[in-house]
Amino acid sequence: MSTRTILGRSDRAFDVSIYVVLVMVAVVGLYPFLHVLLVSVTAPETLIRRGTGFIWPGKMTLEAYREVFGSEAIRRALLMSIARTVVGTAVNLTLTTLTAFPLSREALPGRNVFLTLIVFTMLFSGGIIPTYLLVARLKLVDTIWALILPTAISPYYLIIMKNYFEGLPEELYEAASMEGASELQILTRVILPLSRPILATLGLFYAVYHWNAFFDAMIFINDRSKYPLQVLLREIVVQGNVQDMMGDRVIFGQNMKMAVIAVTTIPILVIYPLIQRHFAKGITLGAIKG
Amino acid sequence: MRKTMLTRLAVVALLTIAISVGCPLGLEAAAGGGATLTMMYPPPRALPPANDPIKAELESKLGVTLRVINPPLEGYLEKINIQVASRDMPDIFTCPWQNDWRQFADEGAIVPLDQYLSGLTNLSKLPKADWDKVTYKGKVYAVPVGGFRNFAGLFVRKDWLDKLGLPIPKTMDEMYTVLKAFTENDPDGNGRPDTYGLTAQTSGVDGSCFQWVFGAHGSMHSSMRSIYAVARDGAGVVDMNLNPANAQALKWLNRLHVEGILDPEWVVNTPDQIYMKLAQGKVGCIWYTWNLPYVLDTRFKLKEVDPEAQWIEIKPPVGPGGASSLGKEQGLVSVIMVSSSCKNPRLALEFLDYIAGEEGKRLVNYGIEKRHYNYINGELVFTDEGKQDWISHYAILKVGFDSDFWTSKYGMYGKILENLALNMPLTADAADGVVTEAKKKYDADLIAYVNEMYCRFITGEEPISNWPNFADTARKRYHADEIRDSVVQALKRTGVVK
Repeated sequence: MSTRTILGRSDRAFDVSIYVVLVMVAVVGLYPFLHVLLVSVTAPETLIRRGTGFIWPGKMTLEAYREVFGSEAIRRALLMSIARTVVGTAVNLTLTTLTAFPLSREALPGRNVFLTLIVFTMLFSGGIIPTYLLVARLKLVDTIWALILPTAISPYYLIIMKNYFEGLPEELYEAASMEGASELQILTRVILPLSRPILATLGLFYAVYHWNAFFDAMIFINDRSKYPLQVLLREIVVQGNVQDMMGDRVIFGQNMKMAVIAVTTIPILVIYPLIQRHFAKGITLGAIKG
Repeated sequence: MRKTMLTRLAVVALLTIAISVGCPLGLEAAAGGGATLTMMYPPPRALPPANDPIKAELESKLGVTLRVINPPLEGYLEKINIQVASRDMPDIFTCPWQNDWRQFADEGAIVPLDQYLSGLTNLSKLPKADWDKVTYKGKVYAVPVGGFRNFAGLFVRKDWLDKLGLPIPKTMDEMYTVLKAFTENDPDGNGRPDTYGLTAQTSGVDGSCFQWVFGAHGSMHSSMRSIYAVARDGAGVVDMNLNPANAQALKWLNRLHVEGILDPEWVVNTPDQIYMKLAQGKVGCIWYTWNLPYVLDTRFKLKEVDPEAQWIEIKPPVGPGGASSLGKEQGLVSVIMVSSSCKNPRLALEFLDYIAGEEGKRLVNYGIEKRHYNYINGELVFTDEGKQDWISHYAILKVGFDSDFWTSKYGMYGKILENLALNMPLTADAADGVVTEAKKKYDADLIAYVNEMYCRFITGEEPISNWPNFADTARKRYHADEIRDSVVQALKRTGVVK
């Protein structure tokens, strides 16, 4: 009994220390976001008077956000980013599923050939100029498809999904085909409903990729009205750090920069809690129980 | 439940696809049947609205459809290189002067312009010296964009000078006194020793952030590339980064560093940090871009933070030998090239010729008369609409310094630029824009070494007495002599050196 109490106490001490450490880690992780938010609502004068470091806005102002949302370019870029992320992720998931499913079936003739070809692209790619040539010849430059089709399937995620499908019990397939289901019906009626964790996980990965990508947009998009948010964000935040001796660039205040960062970060952050449930399951894949 | 969620997802996805296919994300059809001119250049201060009246006016004047591509400045060169390599080029594109635009000629990506230039009177009025600079292998390969001699100024806090009872410094000795007083005599009156006399930003400066110090010692410095001067005494072409006079200038700076007058962060300052330090009143003097007071007032609310604060531009102080120079004279700003995929190079040049002429210049710089600007008693006055920054979006070719434009548009700030561009002593790089094989091969390493050593001389890590060793190492191990000899050869070919 007495040993148990002592153990219990040290256990509790251990638990407490775990919480303390984790809270500290969380604070370290959250502080940058908090800083971005606080600076974005601080009046520039206050920012200058107080200097950098921890800032508690004495006088709160939404001036920076008004400027951000008042800019037609940023509003348009936000829509473009959303369109790209939604359509892109839908295309990604559809094509990845449709490719992973047959590859997960042992009955597929030449399965290893296909897999080898796909894995090959993980290691070697044509490089940016051939990719540009291809996209340009397909007349995709300046369209949303230039941002979606070249990365429609990530081989890495494809393999994860294939492995997931392979991990599903063979009996399910047998039972379904006994019932007379076609392969497509097996996929849509049996496999996909069981694959929500992996769909959510890969969907999140793809969505985050699309949301954060800027380089392809810079290369493939010429019309500024079709730029996604990240390109403008980079212009506003990074470009201010390139001194231009002609003084021909607009210099943005710190609060404005932080407001743009907040506007760019928050939408994708909001998605995490929504699919976290599936996410935790999906990421520990292979842990499926028969 | 599952089924509904899946179907809903699928419906949303399909709808979005359908919508985005339907909405105008596809290729734009060229309006009308006329010729199209595609231009690519980094975005200027601001972008025009959708129904841009100036574009419409330009198009109707020239009978072309204009298509402008403004990729972000960051990544602009990357974008050009990819498009050139893929031969999917705009008709006209610009390249910053200091970048190696000649490679595009070597690659056959741009066309020689000689045969298309005849009869274009406005372009022919550009300075002959500028045309010489864009002549490569005997042919004109680009249209030179000049127009400014100088964009930078030496700024001091006038209110601090007044408070401490000091005059505007005219000599290097007076400058030293002022900077020392800015550091030690508590110019902001807060009772704390929290100010520096001088700060600087080294990155992104074409030339040197301390050029005025080197200039006062009759010399030059560039932290970007080797620069040269033709010695008057017939000693030939001198590599100014290795000029012994620079040792004296470094000694002067070293003294500021040792006495704590120079902001110790001068090597690593970013523009953001500079603006913050100046807006917070931590520093009293800096050499910086002309629009410093404008940015401080508009973006950093300096007038609200400290109503007393007043930044003024001053003439560079005179050194012991009577020399003074504010900075390196700007050669060209950029070049405009016509790509080999341009169907009608003559049309492209006619566009440039138009905006180089009086009527076109007004249209692309000032906007539309009566709507964006008026002449009142012969004086240029912008309307409120005309004061917007995007108006000069198409002014890719600037001819000369246009005082009217700057002072009418930016008021007192424009006056600062006018003063800096027209009234300051500057030094020219005798080999501006000269690119040689040796320079391409060795200059980056040489400059990295020079920059490191200059920094060590200023901070005192390396005593100034080691200057001869430094110069020797630069000449021999870092091929400074070889680069200089190749530059001399190039200058002889163009007749700058006999």
